[in-house]
Amino acid sequence: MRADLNTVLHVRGLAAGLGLALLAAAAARAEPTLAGTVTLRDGSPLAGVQVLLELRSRKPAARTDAQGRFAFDAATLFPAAELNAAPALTLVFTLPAHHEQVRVLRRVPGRAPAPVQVQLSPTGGAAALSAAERELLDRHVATPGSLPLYLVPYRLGGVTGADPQRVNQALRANLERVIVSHVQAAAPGRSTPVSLKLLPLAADADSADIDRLRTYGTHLKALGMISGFGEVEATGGGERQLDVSSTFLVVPRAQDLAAPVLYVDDSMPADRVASPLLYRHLSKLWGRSTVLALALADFAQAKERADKPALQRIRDTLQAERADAGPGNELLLAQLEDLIVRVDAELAR
Amino acid sequence: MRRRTLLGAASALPALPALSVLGPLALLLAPRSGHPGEIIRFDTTGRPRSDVVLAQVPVKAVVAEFLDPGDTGVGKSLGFLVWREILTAISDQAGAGVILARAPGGERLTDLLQTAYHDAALAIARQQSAAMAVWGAVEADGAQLLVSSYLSLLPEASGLQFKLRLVGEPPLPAGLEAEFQRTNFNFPPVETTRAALFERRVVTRTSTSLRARAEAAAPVLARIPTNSALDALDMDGGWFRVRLADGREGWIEHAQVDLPPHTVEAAGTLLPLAGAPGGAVAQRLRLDGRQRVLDMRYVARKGLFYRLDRPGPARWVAAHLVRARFSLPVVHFVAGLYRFQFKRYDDARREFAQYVAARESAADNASLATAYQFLGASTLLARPTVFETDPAAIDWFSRAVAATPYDANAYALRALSTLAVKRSAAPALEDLQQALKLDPTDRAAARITGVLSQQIGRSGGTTLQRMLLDSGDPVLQRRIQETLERYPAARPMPAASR
Repeated sequence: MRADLNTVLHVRGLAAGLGLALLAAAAARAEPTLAGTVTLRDGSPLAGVQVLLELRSRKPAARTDAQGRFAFDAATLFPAAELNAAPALTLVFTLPAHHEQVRVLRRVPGRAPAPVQVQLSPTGGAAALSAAERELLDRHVATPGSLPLYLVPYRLGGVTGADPQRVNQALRANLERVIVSHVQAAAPGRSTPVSLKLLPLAADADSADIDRLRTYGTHLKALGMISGFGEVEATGGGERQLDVSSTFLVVPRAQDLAAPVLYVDDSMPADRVASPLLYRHLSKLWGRSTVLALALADFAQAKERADKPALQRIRDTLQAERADAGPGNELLLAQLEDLIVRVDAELAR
Repeated sequence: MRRRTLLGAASALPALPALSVLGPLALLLAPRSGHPGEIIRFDTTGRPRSDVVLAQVPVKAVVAEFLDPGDTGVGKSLGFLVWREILTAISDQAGAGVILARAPGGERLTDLLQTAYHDAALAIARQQSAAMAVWGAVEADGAQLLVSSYLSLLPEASGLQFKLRLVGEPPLPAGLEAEFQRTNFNFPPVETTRAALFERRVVTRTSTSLRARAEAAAPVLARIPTNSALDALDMDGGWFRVRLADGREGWIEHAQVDLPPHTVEAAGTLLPLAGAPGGAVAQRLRLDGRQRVLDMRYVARKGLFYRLDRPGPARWVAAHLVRARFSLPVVHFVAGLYRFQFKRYDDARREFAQYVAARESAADNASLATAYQFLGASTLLARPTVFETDPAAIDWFSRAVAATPYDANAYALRALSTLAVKRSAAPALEDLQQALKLDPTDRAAARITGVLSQQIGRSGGTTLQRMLLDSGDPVLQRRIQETLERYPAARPMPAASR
């Protein structure tokens, strides 16, 4: 069963642009097929989940069956030339009453991508905090007027050559730098400084639990929650590879407007786990997610106060962010467009 | 031939519209060029300071020591390197200066500043009335170094703002202009090594001491005369480890040396080579590809010269005839901005061409698009009138549009180049419409559309009407009117309220 679900993607190396992998059906008769499973957190399958594939535009690709499985042939959706030239392969998972999820797939040259495992969570299902969790969070809660991002330290299973604490500290410093410089470019002179704080969770806490992270983020009045987890896998050639998935969860919402949870999958040699490799393909995506999170937070406030100068500033920032987008960024553009339309509606009031 | 024909045609017309750049340029013709300055302290408080460096130099950049969170030991050295390389790139530029801001002694900026680094770099640049702030960070991944660099323009502190504007004689209507809107650039990280950065030639600026260690108090091993080209092997903070011709090794302080580029590139043209810097031509040689640089000399009133690594007697070439390749693309970008500001458009074009040709540059489409726009503008402005414009300019603006297809500014800038090169309003209008579709309030697109609406299909024989081949087209006039109806921001204001 698994064998025929496996993808037959030929990959041509690293791409420029978004800095994600080039998906390239280099062989003339390549038939790129993508497959995977969508479940709830407890593992029960989710049927009827809409799966969309995004290249230069976003197209419905498949729905999950009763076992939560999906599989589709990308070549039936997009012409080969577009698939070959695509800077990124993005899958979007939507189901009514569930948080939308976006999965950006980066592939290593010569390695067929594994089936995608996706967990969706219902909206409104905020988990209650235990007393211990509350106590821990209260030590990190944002000071009024600041809008920090939190980095929940990456859990890296099976990594022996690097000190996880050092890796996470360097990651925090570097991610903060790339995010801050990105925000500066889109919103020069923004008064609220963006920072990234480490949020060490208890040893038994599950940093892959998005519902939990959302609850934490809300309690902390955070702008966003960043986390990641990885496992070392042995590849066919006897080399050990770290497969790592990084997550960005935007916390603020503006009424019905929410940003989807963003995942980026990457892999690197297990003996070279270092901060630059962990964040190399995230700079732009995380920077943009932060700009979006800031805009959502500001918009909710500006709308409430009918503060038109603030709305105009939000619009300028979103416009600048869009101006910097390269070709084939449908996902980002759709999010920015959504918000620009809302801001314009408020400005016209 | 074609240029001459066009010029002939132009001279028959009363109007000779030209292109120019706006900028409050008070060019001080200083006897010495490419001024270095240094601030040793990293004040994060933003308090006003009295120690403004290079106060008489109109266009300045501040290069901040590079962050080094992983303690690779190269953060300080990179600050020195980038500072010195920018100085080399603009060494024959009167009125230009570069200031290095660094932590004192062995202190590390990372420890002093933590997160407020970018703000501190900007605050220092503001205090110095600098037009640009360059900063960066370095990390190690095994033997590989990953160097990130950033640039912020500070128009509010320096008054320096980049615009492309069409002007003419008799005057063209006002408003045919567009700003370059981006002020912050996040350049893609460069993967490099210590050897690639620091194993290079250095040239002593003054007579200097070779020391036993990388510190000012270390014993002197030898005196090195001015203008000695030495092999550098590595760097430690602000010190170069060098090897003399007799094999002796020691340390020289960065301020005592100039840094020639590693290599220069020649484009297969016949190059005049001299036996001495600024001397008589000894040989004309067709050179292609990369040439290693052995030495560098600035000759007053003649400019900068590089000695190339050629067999036989010494061979020197004027710097403006080749394209230097510096360690990081940011050096070319910054040098291009200086050149552009001083209207040295051929030099600007060379620097931006080097930037876009760098392997890493494609990884950030926004900075790439801006480099293409400056390349296009430099190409346009390198010729004195619009009647002899280089059609290649439109192509550069088109590449910017391709890199940032959702940027209204990219379309507005291309529209200006189309007006100048094609002397036709129809293709420009398409770009203006696209810009307004992306942002109905885009000021440049609105302004230019408004100007066109008052001239196309109207009588009057204005300079613009004579310049544009389709200025009498009633169909075009209708399309412009439709654009105005759709985008109210583009409607020209009544003259009285201007």
